[in-house]
Amino acid sequence: MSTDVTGVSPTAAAAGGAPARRRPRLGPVATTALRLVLTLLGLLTLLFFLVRLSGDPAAVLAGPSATSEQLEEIRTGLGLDEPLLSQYVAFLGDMLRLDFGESVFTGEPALDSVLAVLPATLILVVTTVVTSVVVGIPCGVLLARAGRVARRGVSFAMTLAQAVPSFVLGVGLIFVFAVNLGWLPAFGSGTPATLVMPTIALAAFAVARTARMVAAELEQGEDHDYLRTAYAKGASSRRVLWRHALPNALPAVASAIVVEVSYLLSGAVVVEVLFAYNGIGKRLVDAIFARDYPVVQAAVFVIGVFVIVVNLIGDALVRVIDPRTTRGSA
Amino acid sequence: MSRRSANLSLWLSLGTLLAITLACFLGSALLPDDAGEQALSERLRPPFWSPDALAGSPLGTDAFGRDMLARTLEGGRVSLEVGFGAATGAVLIGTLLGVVAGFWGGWLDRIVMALADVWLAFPFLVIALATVAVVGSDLPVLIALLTLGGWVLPTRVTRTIAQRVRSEDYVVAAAGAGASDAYLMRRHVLPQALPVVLVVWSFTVGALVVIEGALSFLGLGVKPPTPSWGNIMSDGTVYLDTAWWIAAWPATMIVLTVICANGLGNGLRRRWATPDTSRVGEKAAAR
Repeated sequence: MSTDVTGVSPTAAAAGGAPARRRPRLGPVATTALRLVLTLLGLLTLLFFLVRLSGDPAAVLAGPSATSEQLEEIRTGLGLDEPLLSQYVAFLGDMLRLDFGESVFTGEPALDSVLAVLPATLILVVTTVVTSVVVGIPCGVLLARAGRVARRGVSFAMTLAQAVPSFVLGVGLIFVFAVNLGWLPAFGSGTPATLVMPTIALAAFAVARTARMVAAELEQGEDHDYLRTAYAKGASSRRVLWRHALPNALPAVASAIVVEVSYLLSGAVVVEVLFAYNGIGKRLVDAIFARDYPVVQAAVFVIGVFVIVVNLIGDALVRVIDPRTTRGSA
Repeated sequence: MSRRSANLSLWLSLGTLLAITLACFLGSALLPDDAGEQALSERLRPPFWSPDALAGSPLGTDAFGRDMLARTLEGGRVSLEVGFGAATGAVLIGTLLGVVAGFWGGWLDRIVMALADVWLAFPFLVIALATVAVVGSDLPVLIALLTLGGWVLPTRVTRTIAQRVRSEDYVVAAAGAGASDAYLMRRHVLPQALPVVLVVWSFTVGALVVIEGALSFLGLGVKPPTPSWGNIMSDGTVYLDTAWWIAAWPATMIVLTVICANGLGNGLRRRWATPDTSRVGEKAAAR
């Protein structure tokens, strides 16, 4: 599966004419795990160098209102006079012990202040993924199977959904449903009503992608033998669609959605800020404006781990849905 | 879609994109010098169809009495500079990496591909935010940052092409006749990669205009008073109930630009339908 996620590689590996391009093959699970560990390491390295890029890491970490004693304390704490390599090792050690330091403003451990708002973001991601499946699959079926007019209409809607960025759609939704109609609250979090507009703003793109994905899979599979067989034994076209064609399209769609989650989190940052929805993205941006770097670090770390976990679960899930991928063909 | 309507949408997209670009870069020079200046007596005037409209400000004015037409065009300059600049940079870097990695293979190829995997596994906007928080958000920083945001796709597609072309008989023959690797890449791989690279470029422009918009919408793009479509929109959200047009114009421009960039990419892809271009399609569309 891991090779599918990378996009073009299955055909690429077959097309490459080089003899014995890869020697020992890792199992799919090990490959995925290795890639994810590398991802996390890359992420931490990035955080490490970002702070040092700024010139004075202590000033960044201590925040704007730090006294000179605090600065000195952080300098010795970070070991800034030591070689870069030992600083790096110490940094990785801190990260692995989940020690991100304290928020410059509240004094609360940075990780705790981020984890406190994680559930809100989780809920938003779940409602978005559910929406993209529940709306996206029927739209995809329409795209592939409906009459000319309906197909054109859906196709136009999907093109639009893919071209309107989440923050633009969000502003539009606020204008219509909060300012003009007054049906939904424009801001806030905690009640189901506050979830509606952020979910729509975030899901539009994912719906369109899911729909196009489903349509492409259905069209590709149109002349498969098993579909012809199903028709030949007298199954109705509805039964062929729901019983034979769609289930075979599902694994590809599921793995596309897993990849989508990492993009969803990018979108969630903007959408949360726009709707003042108290999740991890808003916490991140607030911390950036407050120059509360320990919290920034913790938020980036948590989002990274979140993406990694989703990818692992997604890989496993796709393997369960699609027995073909376990047979070492990947 | 039929061939004719596909061609129509290709030319329509290209034309609109060119028109937007020209308007933003030349149009703002044609407007009167004081068009973007503050005029507090003329705050929040509506667009031309309203009886309260201000003569000379057909798109209305914002909370400081600045002309929205001038602001929108000038804001487009920043958004498009970042979009075009970063997309071009990303495509150049990606093509170089992809062609070399695909042609030579081996450890270089493995490192590049591993980097690409790692890079894609992480939400780019979050990296961008963390970087801007520390380094600041001057125009060159933004362009460099977004270049990094777009390098993976061109790298992957050109790598696939380089791998394929390298094993073609005529390339093997040319190599046997003594052609250098650099010559083979320039003479045989690059021309074959060019159509795909242009397709990827179009999609990347759309994607990066959105990311620039998101950054400056959050207040982490170019610093006001320099306008960009994202930060004009963010100013406008405060006035949605009284002066919705402030947010509406830049929003329209962003959406139009993205639709045209995607339309251009799709149109080129269909026009040059090869196995390479058909693979790029939906994966690349803007997000």
